[in-house]
Amino acid sequence: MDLETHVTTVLSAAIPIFTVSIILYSIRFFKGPTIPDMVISVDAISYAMAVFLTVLAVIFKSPILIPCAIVLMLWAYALDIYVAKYLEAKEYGD
Amino acid sequence: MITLEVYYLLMAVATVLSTVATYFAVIERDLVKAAIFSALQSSFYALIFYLLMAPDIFLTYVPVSVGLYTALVLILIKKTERYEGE
Repeated sequence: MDLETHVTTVLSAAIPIFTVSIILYSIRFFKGPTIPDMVISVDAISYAMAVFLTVLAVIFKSPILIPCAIVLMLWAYALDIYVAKYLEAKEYGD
Repeated sequence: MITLEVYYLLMAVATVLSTVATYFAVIERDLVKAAIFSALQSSFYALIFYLLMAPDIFLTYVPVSVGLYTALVLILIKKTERYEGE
């Protein structure tokens, strides 16, 4: 077995782990009683999904797919900023 | 190697979870929670677009739906009332 087969095997084994973790985060999201629980869980879903997209880009052997993961992580971070400013400061700098 | 059924399974999981998020976003009385449910639904749609090999649509969909839409809705909620009336 060459190196490429090993890498593909290991990354293929990571796919069910990511799927199960995203499902568990979703359960926490739908059960989450307060808004910070939900925001942190959607944040964790977005970050796990970004790493997952990177793994899929390696499996697909197409580096053009990598910026999608970066964009998703940055806008999920922006979602945190919006909700935190709504809950805490009640102003948007206007 | 990964077969094609794995990707179809991932698309099915993302579709089911996004449908549940849409249902809760519709019935939720607290509008801030509804905006966050909408953000989760957009995240799963983004995963589906990625698995369908459309990274250009992904790059447009994520900033608009997760970023701008949520920010606009939160600003509008701040201008009006947070809880939906009868």
